[in-house]
Amino acid sequence: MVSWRFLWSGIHQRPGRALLTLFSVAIGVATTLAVSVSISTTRQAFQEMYQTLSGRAALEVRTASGKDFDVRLLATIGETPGVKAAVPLLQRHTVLYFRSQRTRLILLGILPEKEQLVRDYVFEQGGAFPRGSEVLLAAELARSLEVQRGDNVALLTRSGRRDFRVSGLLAPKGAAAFQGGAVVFLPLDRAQRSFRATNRISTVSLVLEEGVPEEQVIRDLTGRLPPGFAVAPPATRTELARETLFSSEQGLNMAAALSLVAAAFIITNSLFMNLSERRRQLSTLRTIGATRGQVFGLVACEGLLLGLAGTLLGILAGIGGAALLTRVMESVFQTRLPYFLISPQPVLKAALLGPGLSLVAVLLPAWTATHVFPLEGMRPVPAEAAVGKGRWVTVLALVLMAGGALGSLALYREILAPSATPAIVAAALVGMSLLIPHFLAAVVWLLSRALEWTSSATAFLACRQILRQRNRSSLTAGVLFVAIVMSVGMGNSVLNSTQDVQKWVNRALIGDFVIRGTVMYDLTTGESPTLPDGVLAQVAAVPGVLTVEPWTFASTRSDGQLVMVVGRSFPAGAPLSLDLIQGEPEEVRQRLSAGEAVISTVIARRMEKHVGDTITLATESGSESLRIAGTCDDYIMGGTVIYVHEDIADQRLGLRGVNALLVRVRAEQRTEIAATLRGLCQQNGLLLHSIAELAQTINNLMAGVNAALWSMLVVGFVVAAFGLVNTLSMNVLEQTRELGLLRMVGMTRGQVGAYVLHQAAVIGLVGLVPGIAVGELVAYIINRVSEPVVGHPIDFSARPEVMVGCLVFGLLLSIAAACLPAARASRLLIGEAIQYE
Amino acid sequence: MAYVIEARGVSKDFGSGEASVAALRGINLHVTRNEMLAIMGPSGSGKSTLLHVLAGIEPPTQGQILFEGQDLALCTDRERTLLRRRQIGFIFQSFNLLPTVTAEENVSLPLLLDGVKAAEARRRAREVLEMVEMSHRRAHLPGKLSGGEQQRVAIARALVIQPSVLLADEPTGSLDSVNGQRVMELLRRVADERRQTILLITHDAAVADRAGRILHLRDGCLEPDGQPNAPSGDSRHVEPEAD
Repeated sequence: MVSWRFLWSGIHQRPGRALLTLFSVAIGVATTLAVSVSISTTRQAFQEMYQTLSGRAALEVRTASGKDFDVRLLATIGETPGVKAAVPLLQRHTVLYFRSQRTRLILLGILPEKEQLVRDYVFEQGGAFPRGSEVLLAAELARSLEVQRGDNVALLTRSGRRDFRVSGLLAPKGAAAFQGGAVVFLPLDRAQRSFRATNRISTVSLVLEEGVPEEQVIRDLTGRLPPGFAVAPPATRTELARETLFSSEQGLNMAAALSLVAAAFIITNSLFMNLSERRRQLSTLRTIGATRGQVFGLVACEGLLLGLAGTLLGILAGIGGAALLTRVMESVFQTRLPYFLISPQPVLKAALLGPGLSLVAVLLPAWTATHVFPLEGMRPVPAEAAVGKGRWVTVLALVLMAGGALGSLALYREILAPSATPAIVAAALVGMSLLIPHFLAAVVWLLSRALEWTSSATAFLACRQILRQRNRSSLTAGVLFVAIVMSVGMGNSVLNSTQDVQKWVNRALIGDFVIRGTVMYDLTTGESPTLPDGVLAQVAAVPGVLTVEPWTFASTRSDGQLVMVVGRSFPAGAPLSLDLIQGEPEEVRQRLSAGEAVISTVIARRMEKHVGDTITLATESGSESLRIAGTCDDYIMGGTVIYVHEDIADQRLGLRGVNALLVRVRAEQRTEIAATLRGLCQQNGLLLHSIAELAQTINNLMAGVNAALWSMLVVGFVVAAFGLVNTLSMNVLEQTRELGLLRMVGMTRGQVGAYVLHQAAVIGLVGLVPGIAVGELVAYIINRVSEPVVGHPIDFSARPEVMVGCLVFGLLLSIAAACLPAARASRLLIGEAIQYE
Repeated sequence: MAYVIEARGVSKDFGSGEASVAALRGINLHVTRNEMLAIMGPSGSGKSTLLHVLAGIEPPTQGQILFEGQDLALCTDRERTLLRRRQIGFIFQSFNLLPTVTAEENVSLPLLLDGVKAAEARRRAREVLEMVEMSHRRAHLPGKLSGGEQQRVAIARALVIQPSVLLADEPTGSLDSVNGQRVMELLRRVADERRQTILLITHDAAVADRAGRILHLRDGCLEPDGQPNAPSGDSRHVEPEAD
């Protein structure tokens, strides 16, 4: 009972310090949880999309290439022993137009008489399946667009915009829950006609007889179907989304790791400050019979208590943060996501992380407390002596740094998975931070020399105070160091990556305009709406148009790897529009026309392919092998792209329809042509963008994640500021008597405030300045370890705007953090202060 | 009349209501230029409080403090601070040197605070340290100095600004008798050679005897020299010495 009261009195005595420590833990836990939940929500949502669609189907039949196939195979499939029902589906990407609104949707062509065998349809309005030119919409989507039952909506088809009547609205259950409700249903035959997919279907869902083993049906059916088909449980088809999600996940995880490291430093620092303040109390406890174990437990419990309270608060804040981050993911992936989905795993991880972190952070202070001898604690001893030399801390620091260096090498060599990056970077940063005490004196000496010209007594005294509390100052500077390293490192890296994407856009999209159905392709399939058939001719007929190059996108597999095939015409006289790495443009153009392919550097690296090798692609009639004419850098679909000539795409790979047009026009007629094209696009419900606008769109998509990343990095700085407030407040408290003396000998209130601000500035500079240099190194390392992911090395350039911006922000924050302690110090009553013990 | 400090009807209460404690009651006091005045009193008599009030650190509850004819109540906090920096040298019982700076740096401190260039401040500090016979220890931290040495450094810090008055709060209170004597000899020498005005408070008669004039403080009231305690609440005048 005594010890709990002692523990509580320690926290209660310094509520401000306890709160700041608690908030630091809360922020670390919250960022980790928010990142985990938003990433898992996005992954799970993509996964559930197809689970929702598959309904009661035990198996699904589709082509290995993911393309449509002949509906006449339905009979063969349905006659397979064990199959109770075989339900066909045609799937397309389209755009819905209603009044002035346009929304990207998945269109499903269904056979109403069979649909209910596989999927649930719960009507909110209406009760019958659509016939003829009728469609069903999800009620939630309809409400968001203010569409009522009976209204006419337009859909983008191969024949252009076509009107359909909304015959019913579906509750968000069963099939209508697919893609978060961004789905429209119409009769299969009507869908086939509208999309020029006569007798074509995308998948067949199989409901099996009761008790029939799936493997048996798979075996039987595979034997009956032509080569190029896959019979399997409904797949998630989220591989493509996972690729694109990966880089965002890496960045966010890194930022979350930073917050955790910062929180750990602050807990350690706070407990050391408590220890320093309560040495006498602890030594009294030892004198009256408390064992070392009991003292250890007391200090450790205090840290754990703060850790637990911070964890609880962090979990609540993390849930809010997850909702925000999920909205960011929604805008990045241009798809509807649920509010967020909390599964037990991220919450459990956060619930263990907070206390775990506190436990690690309290070890050293608690151990130090056990070495306060009874009588020694009664005497005033310089704080540094109480902590000890900490040789093993130096060893630990060197081990962590070595681990970071080796880990980085292992990442570059792809020995370790990229997901290990945050842990490796965090370990290296902690190691570097633990070395700060060794160079603190030198840096402070340099700074004091630099400040000497000001004859500023306050600056000179501030430097002395910092060296007096070496460990405390180092830990505080360490948090700032970690914050700026991550900010400069990731900020620099993000800007370099953005520049690389822009460079790719400039090299790969050489033209004036792009015409397409939607802003972004579907991340699960890589598909986007097919343009109406006549649009290409219409655009080509516009006076002043030089070339119109159709682009066709489709996903397929190559030796098991999901890839995006892009069919293009590569017109003569026009730039090749490829960011070639290997191969000369004109030679590559000829070889593409001759039936060869250009693969991305990502594919080349992953599949160990070179120019002259062959690459095999799955098609509906089996597989096709193409010789590799060249390699190029690319960012479409995570860089997993293969370019072929449009004739090859059509004849050998079965790719039909046009998904985008790249248009080149006469420069002097650009403005008039733009107006004509705009009218043409409006008529057909399409989007027209200039290449500059397209580049801006890409930037905007990246900006969402970058903004979330920068927000989290700023949070890291805020945590560092908490640490600084704690440290300076403790310094002021410890120096109460000295501050009284200084006021006695003539230091004004303003000078006292300046003295505290100087301490903040010096600690800030100790952490921030070397942090900039290390941050640039981290940026370089991130660039290098990204090579396996993006397929090519990203040009590294130091970003002065990032360095200066982070330095200025860090310094301003440091000084802002000092305001409260400075104000308190300047308000000390002299008479009380000089008698303070 | 060259009074450096003058107190007129000064009272100081701490707390309020029933918990109020009268630390000083109706003090009237003059400190003449160039004199060494000692105020004696037992523990709890209000000596330190009186010194703080005279230095402008604590405002009196009633009465007036005049420093070189200037009413401290009419001064801003900044003005009082500058007064302490430039005209009042303070010596504490427990030395109160800054532990993180050397003896020389401690002595330079008031000059640096006043914007004096570092080199000039160092030069003046060394001069004063020479005077108090602490030159050989100027580069040492206070933790490496004995009690007597620390107090001499503290005296040097108080003298470096060439103050109008030195206020010493039990300057020998933390020292053994030998060191205490040495410190008092130093103060006497400073008073004689530099004609420094000194006001010191002490409970030690041997220390007080070194002063030119002694006043007695008891229960917050000043007694005239050799007179028994006055009724509480009455102010007492002490006749100033003529210049």
